[in-house]
Amino acid sequence: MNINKVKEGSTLTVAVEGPLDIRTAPELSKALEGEIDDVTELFFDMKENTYTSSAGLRVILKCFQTLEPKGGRMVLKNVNDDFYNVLELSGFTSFLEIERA
Amino acid sequence: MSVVELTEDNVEEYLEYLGEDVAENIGRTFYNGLIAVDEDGSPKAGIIWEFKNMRKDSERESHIVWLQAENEEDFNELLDNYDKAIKSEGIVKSCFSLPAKTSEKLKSMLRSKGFSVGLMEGNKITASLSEIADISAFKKIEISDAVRPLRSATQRDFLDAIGRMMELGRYGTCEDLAYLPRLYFENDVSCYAEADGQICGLLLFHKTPSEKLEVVLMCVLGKESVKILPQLIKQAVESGYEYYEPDTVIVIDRHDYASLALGEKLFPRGFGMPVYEGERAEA
Repeated sequence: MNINKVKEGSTLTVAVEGPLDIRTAPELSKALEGEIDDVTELFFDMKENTYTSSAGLRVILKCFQTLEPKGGRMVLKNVNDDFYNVLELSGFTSFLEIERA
Repeated sequence: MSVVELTEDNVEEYLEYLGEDVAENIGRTFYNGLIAVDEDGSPKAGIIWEFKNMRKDSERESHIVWLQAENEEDFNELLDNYDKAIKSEGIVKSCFSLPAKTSEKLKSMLRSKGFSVGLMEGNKITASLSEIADISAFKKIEISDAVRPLRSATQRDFLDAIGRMMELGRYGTCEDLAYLPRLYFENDVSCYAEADGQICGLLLFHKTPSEKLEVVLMCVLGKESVKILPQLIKQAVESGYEYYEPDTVIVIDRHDYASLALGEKLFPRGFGMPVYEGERAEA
């Protein structure tokens, strides 16, 4: 998995390439350590993400937990149909801002 | 309004309010509950919690597993009584995990009482018996003679196995594993594996009042665990088909890393439901 981070002011865009699962989720978590403290907008670009498991979703949601209390915004962008369908089935589309690919 | 402690004697009165699957835990060691009722005895708010890590004084926690309140006044009265109830137990942290869909009103109330609150993916996932049977990984598995339904284990061997697993800190989802009667576990679908004359693996289910089968302990000791665990799962599925319908709901609580990893392997496209989770340090 590759992670590319681009920060512009208080907006951070994180592109996740490859699978985000129980093996790779800790890499994302580590890459984001200290990165979102001063961020008000966080975008996860999932265009090149091939698969996201529960472990991966939990890392993403941990970021949302940091942002939400201070009025921050998180968007999952370029979410493919597979991932979107699982998010919808489980009920997360009612709670998260998601832009489909 | 008054706040009543939930006990085995009175829980039936509040069955409809709590739901049968939640209510059945009242009476178990480490489970406690309170109900706020109005002058007519109608429930207005309720809370059920389970104490965890009670063997380690410095890590004792209270996990709120069910919480309901319509307004802040009832909520505050309930939480004040909760605070009193846990005071003498040496609890260092309270935490909760509640369905997000029905807990929106509780977010601000919990924050006002010092809890952090955040959206997370719930630990529990469900699958039907037939969905598990269809998992291709299990089709090739052959069940050895050493893997059998729990009903064929002697009580002595069962208790011995439970004791050994507890010594290794393997409690599954049951903090009160030491106190649960054998019949708490569904003895036809639950199964065990034997090696060197003793039980080395257990896959235990509990059948809820709503007739779901919850995995409560999945543990295999020894070098052969990787080979034995799939056999236990297959044995459980085969027994399941003997006694239950294919659409029977199996509940898996991915409460630790191992079960999260297994859940990912068996159900790669499955998420738990959205929950609000949070915690508060206790004095």
